[in-house]
Amino acid sequence: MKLLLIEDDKQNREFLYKAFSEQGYTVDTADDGQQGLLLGTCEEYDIIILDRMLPKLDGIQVLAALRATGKTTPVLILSALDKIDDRVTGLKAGGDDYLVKPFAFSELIIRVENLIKRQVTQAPISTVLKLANLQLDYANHKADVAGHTLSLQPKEFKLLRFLLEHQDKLVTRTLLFESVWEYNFDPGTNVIDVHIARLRKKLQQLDAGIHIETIRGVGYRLAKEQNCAN
Amino acid sequence: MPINDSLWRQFDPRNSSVWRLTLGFAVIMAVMLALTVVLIYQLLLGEQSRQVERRLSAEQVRIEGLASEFSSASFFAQLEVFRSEGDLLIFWQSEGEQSQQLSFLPENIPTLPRTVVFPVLDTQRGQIRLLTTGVVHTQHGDIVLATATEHLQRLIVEFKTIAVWACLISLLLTGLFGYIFARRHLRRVHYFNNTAEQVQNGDLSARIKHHQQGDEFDRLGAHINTMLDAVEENFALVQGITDNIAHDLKTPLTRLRLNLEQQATLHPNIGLEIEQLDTIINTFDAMLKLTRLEHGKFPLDVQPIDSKLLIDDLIEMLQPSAQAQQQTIAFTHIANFSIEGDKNLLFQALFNLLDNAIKYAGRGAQIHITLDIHAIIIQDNGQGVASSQISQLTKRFYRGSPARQYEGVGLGLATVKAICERHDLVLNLNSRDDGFIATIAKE
Repeated sequence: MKLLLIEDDKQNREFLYKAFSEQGYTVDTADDGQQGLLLGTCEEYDIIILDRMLPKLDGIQVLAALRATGKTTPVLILSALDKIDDRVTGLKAGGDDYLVKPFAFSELIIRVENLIKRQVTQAPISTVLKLANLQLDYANHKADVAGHTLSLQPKEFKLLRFLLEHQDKLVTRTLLFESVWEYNFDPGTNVIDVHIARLRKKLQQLDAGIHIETIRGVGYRLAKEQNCAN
Repeated sequence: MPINDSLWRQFDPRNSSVWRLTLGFAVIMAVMLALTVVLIYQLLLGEQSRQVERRLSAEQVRIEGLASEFSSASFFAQLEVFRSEGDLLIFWQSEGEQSQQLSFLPENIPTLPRTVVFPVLDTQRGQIRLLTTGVVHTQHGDIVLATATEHLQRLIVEFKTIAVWACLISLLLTGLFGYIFARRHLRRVHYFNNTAEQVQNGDLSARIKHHQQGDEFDRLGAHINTMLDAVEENFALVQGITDNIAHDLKTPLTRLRLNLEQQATLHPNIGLEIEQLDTIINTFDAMLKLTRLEHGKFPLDVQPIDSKLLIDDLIEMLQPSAQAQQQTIAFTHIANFSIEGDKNLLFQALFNLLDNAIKYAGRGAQIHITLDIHAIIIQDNGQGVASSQISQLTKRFYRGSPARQYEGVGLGLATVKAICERHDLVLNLNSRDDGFIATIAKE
């Protein structure tokens, strides 16, 4: 996977370069808008991470110029400015996703993966997700654990599906809030914790063999229980 | 509070100061017109009437003199001479004989010098003539003196008609122009008001169009524009500072957060530090957002809102939190509250209100949400808030006594209020013995 990172802050650039390289990405970097645009138009990338405020050429200008040349490479915008303010302008200018600084790396990586996945859309072979004793058929909206129906409310179902699709990965609260509830704001309370706790309880009652771990300050991770036989 | 647009449209020009001035002016003008008319009448027509009366009085004296001097026959012979000599008409009745000139003499003719005007038909000329007449009593009988004054009488009638019409038309024109000026005047005031409202709603670039060498309104407009230029410049300066702080702070915060996050995989305790950091970041974001909302710098993603769906989502999201406190949330859906607005912001406003109810109504409380065509009401049966605190609740960083035990900085209700104002909605907070009520209604 080839990634172009356009970011003027040296420390952040180096950190992200290192982190994405460790994840197996081939990373090119640019430290200003002009250079970024040049690389973005001349080379083929799977994804571009674009800082909103850049020297020489502003992030939105880079994006507009890139889209004007007909490039459809997915672009994720990083912004230090206020939330929805830039979100609207950023997405209108042709950005595919938007992340406000400061952000969690685990959230950035999931968003990047989602954008790449969206590009290579292939019909899913099966609409059934399986892990340990749990089987989730999202086409028919059914979930069961070893033959016992797991009764879930619509949003709980969506939550479990999202966690299963990102199993073994760190999922942040904001990402969950945006993907499951589809509202873009920071609830600032332990709302999601309570939902996770309820889901966790339901899974435990039926002995699903699945564990949702809360990682403080970061988010959640769904994984198969260590001692699960399956 | 500025008067809103529709009220201004309803504002009757008759209530404007210009209209009152017009009325005052019209009264003064009416008085002056009346005085002028009376004066002209007296100078022209009044003098002529008096001349006629003087002439008749002089004749009266002469006839009375003749009557005392001559015998009856000579007296009447003299009168015949008078009649044939002058333009004066002289009639008398003697020995049942009617004077030849007039077929009938009206009764009630006053004694000279008083006179009366009466019409007669002049059969020779075939027209009606107006005679000013009076009676002289002599020892030989009553003598009627008359002079034809139809020209004078016609002049008087015409003069009166013209004077009345002239007065009426002048007053009507004064009223009409006054009304038009009042409307024009109001329209300009309305334009000023609109511009002020635009500025209040956050459009600091709004300016008043005016002519360089214009009237007092143009000069006022120029003055207000100069003031707005200064305000806009200062605001841009403050905005620039805020944006720069946001940018300059967020880049190092990003570094810090990324570094901490990397270390958190090795040292799970660092998660606590990250949570602290997130609290700082969230407060910072909430302040920026509130400031931008209040100054109209927060662009809205306006779309039609399904208010029922919004509340269903809200209840679904907060139901587990309420259940954790053994609280129940009931929802009465009477009718949809139709509104266009920013879905995320409106949801946040409702979220903050319901979240507050759950936090402060206490264990086992009942929360009731009502959705109807005019309002969204969130009501609980908790302890409520002291009435002295109500007005403080929507102020920034205000935290009532029960709020201190919870995390937060006191921006929740201030944000709800700012969101409502941006959507032309009104937030009403009320505390009664049986609980706290928050209402979002249309203006």
